[in-house]
Amino acid sequence: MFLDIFQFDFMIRAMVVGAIIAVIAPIIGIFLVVRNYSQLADTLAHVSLVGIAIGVLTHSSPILFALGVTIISALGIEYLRSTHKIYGESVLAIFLSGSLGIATLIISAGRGFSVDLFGFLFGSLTTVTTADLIMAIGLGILVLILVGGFYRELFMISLDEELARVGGIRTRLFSTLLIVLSAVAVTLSMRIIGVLLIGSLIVIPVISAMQFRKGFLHTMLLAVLFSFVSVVLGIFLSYYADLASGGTIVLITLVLFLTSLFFNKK
Amino acid sequence: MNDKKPIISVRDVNVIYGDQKVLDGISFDVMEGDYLGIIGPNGGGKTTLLRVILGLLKPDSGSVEINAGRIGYVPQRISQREMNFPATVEEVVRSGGRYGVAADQAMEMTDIVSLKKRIIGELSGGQRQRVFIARALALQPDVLILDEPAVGVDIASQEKFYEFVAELNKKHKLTILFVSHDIDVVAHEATAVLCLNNTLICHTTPEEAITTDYLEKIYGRKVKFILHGH
Repeated sequence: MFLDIFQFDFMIRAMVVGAIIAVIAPIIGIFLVVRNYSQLADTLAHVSLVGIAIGVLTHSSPILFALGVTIISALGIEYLRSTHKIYGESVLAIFLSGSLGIATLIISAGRGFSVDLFGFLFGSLTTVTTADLIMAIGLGILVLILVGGFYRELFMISLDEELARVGGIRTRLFSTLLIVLSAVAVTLSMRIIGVLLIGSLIVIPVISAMQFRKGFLHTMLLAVLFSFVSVVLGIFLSYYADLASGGTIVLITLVLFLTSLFFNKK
Repeated sequence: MNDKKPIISVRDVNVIYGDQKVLDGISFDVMEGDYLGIIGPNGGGKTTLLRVILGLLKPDSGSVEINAGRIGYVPQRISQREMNFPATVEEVVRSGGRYGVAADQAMEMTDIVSLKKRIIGELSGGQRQRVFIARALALQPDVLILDEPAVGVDIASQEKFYEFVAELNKKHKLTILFVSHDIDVVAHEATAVLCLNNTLICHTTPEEAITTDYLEKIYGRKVKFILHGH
């Protein structure tokens, strides 16, 4: 009875995609949080709405369009940030509100896809397709390989960009890699948790893990654990209690965060 | 000078910020095995000069030639980001180089092995400074560049710290370039002194630097020299 949930193919798909994003969201998230770039995830999530809107309007894959639009925007954000043309947070504000405006325009042009859109905004387990699953597995593995392979470089540019440069690390290249990986993580997460709630999965488990005041790798693994528990438990709860999956997951991340505050002895 | 070869050659470097010439026609050589202290007033261009040498800042004109394999760098201030960064001492030091053995050696040399599991934000200023030196040493550098390395370190630890740096220079044959506003430290520790106040006022021995009027020139007034007990 407890495992009823696995009778449905879409729930199995949702669970697998959920597990993948639960692992990669905080792995990318920790680099964003320590670089004071937490807002990036939220910004990219809003940007992805433009892609979703185009995808839905043209009856093609919203996720693929979202991936394309978020990666291009991520590159734009990184360019403006690294050339110091615009101050970091202002760049994010421009992309966040600007893309929301464009998405609204496209959505209003193609009246009648509000039901689909609701799922993307707040997450909907039933909408996870086989194509989403395959993409999540492929991109999930790619993210793990890239972060694993360039762990030292990503750690260094996060600790101190100048020191990294002096140490011969191509900081621009790795900052760009990180931001593109963020775009991938955001796009993968939106089916399950929804565009408006993605930021929380990328950021909250990391901040919770940081309360334990451990080393970088430990903090990362702890964040993955918190995120994994939140997503899996969230999917179960949302299925049996008929709740919105995204909201349930975020609520669990918040409970874990509040609990972790007690462990910070500082 | 002698048969030693320059490890860093700075030639006619100019850096202009707005209408101010921060570095004006700076030329000098750093020889292999040198322990060079750079002194000068705030705003005299010390940090800017280091940034040019490190390749972090492109000079408006002039050139810097580096004949060293690797340069280790310890920045002046440990940023707020580093204070809150969730990383252990060991993780920070290991990030410095690709070889674990060098990192282990670096931690032993800087006497931070006992701190290796601690989070960097929990350390004292002196301890954190040693961690970042260990990080630079883990790269197995030929030259070590330190910007105001003893800022935020108490006096007793400062003396120990400079003894340690001197040892790196003598025993481990490491070429060292450091910036300090503490003339006393430079006079007693360095083997050569560079006096910088936007232009290069002197490049001489420490003895010469404190007995002539160079200091008056760079600081713009008479400098009373009080010897600390060394």
